[in-house]
Parts: sequence; structure tokens; C-alpha cells
Amino acid sequence: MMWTEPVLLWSGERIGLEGIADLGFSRSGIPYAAPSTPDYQTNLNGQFILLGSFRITSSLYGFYEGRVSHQEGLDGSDPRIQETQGTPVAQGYIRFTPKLPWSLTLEAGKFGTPFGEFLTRNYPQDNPLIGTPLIYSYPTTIPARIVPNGPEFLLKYRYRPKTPQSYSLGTGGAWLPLINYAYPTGVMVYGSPRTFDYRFALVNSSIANPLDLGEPGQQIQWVGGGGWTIIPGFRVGTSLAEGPFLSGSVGPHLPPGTSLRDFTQRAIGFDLQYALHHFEAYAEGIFTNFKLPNISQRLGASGYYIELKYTWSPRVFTAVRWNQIFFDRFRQDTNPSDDLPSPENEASYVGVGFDQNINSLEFGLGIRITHKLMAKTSYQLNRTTGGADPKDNMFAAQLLYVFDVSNLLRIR
Amino acid sequence: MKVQTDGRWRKASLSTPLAILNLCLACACLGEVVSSSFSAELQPGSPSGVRAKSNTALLVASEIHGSVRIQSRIQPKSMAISMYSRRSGRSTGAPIPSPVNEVENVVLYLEGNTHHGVSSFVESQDINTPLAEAPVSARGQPRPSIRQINETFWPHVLPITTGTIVEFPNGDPFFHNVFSLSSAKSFDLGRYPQGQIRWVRFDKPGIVKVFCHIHSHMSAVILVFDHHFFTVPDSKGEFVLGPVPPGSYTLVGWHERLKPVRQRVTVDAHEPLAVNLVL
Repeated sequence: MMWTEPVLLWSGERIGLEGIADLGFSRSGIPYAAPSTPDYQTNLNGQFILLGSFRITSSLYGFYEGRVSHQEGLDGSDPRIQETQGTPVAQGYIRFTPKLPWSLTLEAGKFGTPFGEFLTRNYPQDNPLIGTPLIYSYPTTIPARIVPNGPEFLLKYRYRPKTPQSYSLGTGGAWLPLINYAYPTGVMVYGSPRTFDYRFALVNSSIANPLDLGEPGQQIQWVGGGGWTIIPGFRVGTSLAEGPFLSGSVGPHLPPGTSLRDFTQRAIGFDLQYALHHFEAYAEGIFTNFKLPNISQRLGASGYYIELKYTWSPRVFTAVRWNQIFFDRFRQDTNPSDDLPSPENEASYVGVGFDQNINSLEFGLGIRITHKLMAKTSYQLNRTTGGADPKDNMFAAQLLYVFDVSNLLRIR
Repeated sequence: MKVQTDGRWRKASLSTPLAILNLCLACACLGEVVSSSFSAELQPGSPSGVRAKSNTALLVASEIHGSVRIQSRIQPKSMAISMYSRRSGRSTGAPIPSPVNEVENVVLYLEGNTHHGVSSFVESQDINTPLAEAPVSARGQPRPSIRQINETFWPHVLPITTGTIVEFPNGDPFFHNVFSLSSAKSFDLGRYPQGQIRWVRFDKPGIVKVFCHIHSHMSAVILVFDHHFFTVPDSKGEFVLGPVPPGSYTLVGWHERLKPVRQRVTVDAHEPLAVNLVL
């Protein structure tokens, strides 16, 4: 006897739901803490990420990412940290892949910025360490919701207390990093002809200050990039972006005659990935500057990181990441525009960087307990040059679990 | 003769027909003459008077043939989640050599006379009989392989015997990183480009789940048996298993995402056995 009706393979692949749960522990110093407050703190944090993909037609797909996280201070901080943050739609977009040359693909919705490389592997199972590169996380003295009235404003905040929380900005942080974990809303086109790849997007917010839909201050700006895979495993790429960076809430406080479009960020980035056998290397650099009409000099910053990972056995890997950021110094001719009030004490800022140069070394160990369960631990050393030792070294440990939600829920 | 069981070496138990014929096949393939002490051990436990001393043992064996059908609803595989634009070359665009249906991912195998409660995944590899490469090289057949093509492992399910070397050629124009953390075999082949082949030798019976570090949606399953009595049905569900020495066995129909189906079968000499399995 023979049965002929086939059970089609993968016929049900219309939906994919993946969950990532991680539990973290960190103990770190608080730089420039007031004498009466603790100079260290211990935190527990947990995060759940839900990723979804949906096939609508053979060339039309939908993608979704939602996040919820909780942070619980165990000691050190006063008041004790107890914060839950939910991002129902971190990403949500439609992807259309018509059968066109150059593998042309279109995306529309809320998606990860195409600038840089790290965003594509910022999930805990892809990041071999626990911390993130400084260029993505170090909060500079450039504010998101305040219009600096001159160089001294920025200098005033060079020694502001920084807590580890301020390094994990998410959207709308008060102090802008050079690049944020930006999930702007817009449209993007990308593809990969032969060994090259390209991407170009028109989005609603800058790479340093991503704004959600509905937030005031959204301005159209462009982000582009491309790369060349020289040989498999070795790729070099570049990214470009320009657009306004201030949040819309500063609108009423803008200097007369200026608009949000006068406060712009320009950035050019370079990235490199190399992998062979059990060795992986990643490097990324950025040159960026912020234009503030009431400071005649564009405030430039450059930063980079180099990350190396080696897998010693099927279960054990180690990684190390070296970061540096350099900030422009105020020049002698840095004066406010003619129609704006001039700073009172010019001598105090000439030759001083608008933030402290910083370097950081993070090294860590990862253990794959099972295919879905991984443990990581890392130690991060942070140092500034020309300033006081921030003493914000951090020890962290993380346990993460990746699971198939659609199987769990029996979604067919 | 010694065998390894749960990491300990002990005297071999050769009372099951599977163990006996497994050794017969191995020896036949190697073209070796079985020693008198070896055959003396076999005789008491040999069903139906099968003697491993001579290759004629194979002549009295019969085949099990029939068909298998999947009636249960199979949980579909999850769709790949690729949130970000690809930045390292593109897929080949070549058609994925997918099987016609899930029945090709079914593995049929025999569990032996369980005098000792052993299943076919219990370790009983003969360390003095290097089954590893001998059956492959002696027969001049290519090594079994699991290709990586269009971000898919092909075949998805591969049954092998202990000691088999499996190749993992990369057919995609970008890196893959094949690995497994299964207790039966853990390995990490590292990243390697198109055209390169890495291989792994499987010495321990069990189920080995294979993944790719770079493409988390890729998976494959290798079933490592300590005997030769297994087969994979064709696209119509038809299969032939054997030759099998006379005796009573349990025929198991295994699918990755279904509960295994077991059926008792009795194989007579010179009498092919027809079996239909429904999963």
C-alpha cells in the first residue's frame, strides 16, 4: 500500500516568533558622585525581546520587535533604582523584495538605522560582551532637549555625575551619544549587487537622537551606506548621515531666527568585519560634528572601537573590545554668532575639549550552556584623559535564553 | 571484546540480533575473518542460529519493506527572522533542494531484542573494530555530507552509523559556522567560505542537533546509530530496510517534530516483511 498525499515541507513557514530573555547583574562605580552619596552601585536587570517575522506574500514580509526591561537597584543608589521600561514597538516595518536587479529591497516603517554596523548585532546573543561600544553608548555633553547658550554650558557638564543608567540611553536620552540605538521611522532601499551592498534611507530623526512617531521635532533626514565584501569574511563599509538632532520640545527656547533644522549632526562612519575559522574581528569608527548656531565652531568628535573574539571550544569564547572617543577643543575664534549673546569668559574654554576624551577596555568570557542558553561575564575599564579618573569600572554578568515563541504557543 | 557504555568499558553483550548483525556487516565490509573466540561469544545469544563466523549469516536475513505516512499535523518550522539588511554578500538564489514532503525527514530504524532494556542509541561501539572509515572507504562510496546551501542544511536529517565521518561543504557565497552542543557530539567548525569542506567524525550513538552560529534559523539533525538497521523513506514514503536477521524487533518511525511510533515486527528467514507505519 502506498500513500501519495505529501505533507509539504515548510508550507507553514508564514510566521516566526523568537523570544530573547536575559537577566543581568552589574556592579559599577559612579563617576563624580557627590561626597555624601555612594560611589558604586549594584543592579539587577532583566529584559525580554520579542522578535517576529510574517510572510504576507512571497515577496512581502512584515517584521516586529518589542522590548520590555526592568532595572532593580540592590544597593548604592539613593533613591534605589526601580525602573520598568516598555517599548511596545521598537521595530515594525514591511519589507518588499521585488525581483529586480541588484537585489533591490524596500522597507517602510520603524526600523534600525542603516548607519554603522553594531546595531545589527546588538542582541545579547550576538554581542560577545555585555557592554556596548562607547560610540553607541557614551553620553556626551551634547544635550538633546536643551539649547546650549555657549561653550561654557558644555564645559559645565563635563564633570556631571554619570551613572551606568545614563550609558543605556534608549530613545530620547538627555545626553546624546555619537550614535544611538536608533530605530527611526521612514523608508529605506537596500540591496547587494555581487560583492557590494548599499542602503539609503529617509527617516524622521538623527542617528544620535532617535524620536518616536508622535514626538515633536521630527525632521526628514537621510542616512546612507555601502560596503564591499572583498573576500568572504572580510568586508569594509561606510555610512553617512546628516540631519537635525534636537528634540522638538526645545522649539520654544530656540534662539531667535533659528529653527530645529539649524541644529544638525553630520556623520561619516567606517566599519570592518573579518572572520576566519574561530576568530572574528570587528572595527568601527565615526567622525561626526554637531552644529549649534550659537557656537560658531562645529563641535566635532571622533571615536572608534576594535573588537576581537575567539571561540576556544564549542562552548567557550572570549572577547575584548577597545574603545576611544576624542572631542574637539574650543578654538580661539570660537565666538557666538553676532546676533546672539556672547559667552562671558572666553579664556576659560579656549583649548578645552567640549567633553573629556575617554577610552575603555572591556574583556569577557562567554559560555554556551546549550544551544539556547548562554552565560557571559565581562569587566569594563573606563578612563578619561585630562580629567579626573571617573572610577566607573564595571563588572557584569548575564544569562540569556533564546527560544522559539511560535512553537511554544503552537502558532501555526 | 569491550564496548563502551555510558563512558565505562565493559564486556560486550552480544545477545541482541542487532549487535550480532552489526558486527557481521562490519566484518564483512572489512573483509576480515572473525576469530573463533569472537564467534564463540556470539553463538549462545544468536537468534535463529545465526552465526557471525560466516557471511552466510547475511543470506538468511530478510528485508523489511513498506511505507510510512504522516497523519499527524506537524508543527511548521519557524520562519527565519532577519531584522537587518544583509551586509555581506547575498544568497546564491539557487533553488533550495528541498524534499517534496516531510516524509523524507522520517528515519526508520530497528530497536533490538531488549533483553537488557537497551535501545539502539545505547552505546555499544566495538573499539577494536574501526567502523569509522572502513565501511565508507571499503565500499568506495563518498562520505555522507550535509551541505549548506541558501542558508539551509541539506539534507535536514541524516542517519549514520557510529564512526562515520560527515562532511559539511559550504555552498553559499558567504560564511557559515556549523556547530553542535549535543551530548552525543559537540563541535564547532568555525567560519569557512564557499567551496571549503569541514568534516566531523561521530563516534557516539545519539541524536546530534546541528546549527549555524551566523544563521540561527539553520538546523539539521544527525542520528548516529550503533547498527546498520535504519533507512529513510523516499518521497512517496516507501522504504526498504535490511537485510535483517530473523528475530523480533521494534520498528521505530522517527520524525524530529513528532512522537516516535513503534511497532513490533518479527522477521523470518527468506520471508520479506511488509510494514506500514503511520506517524
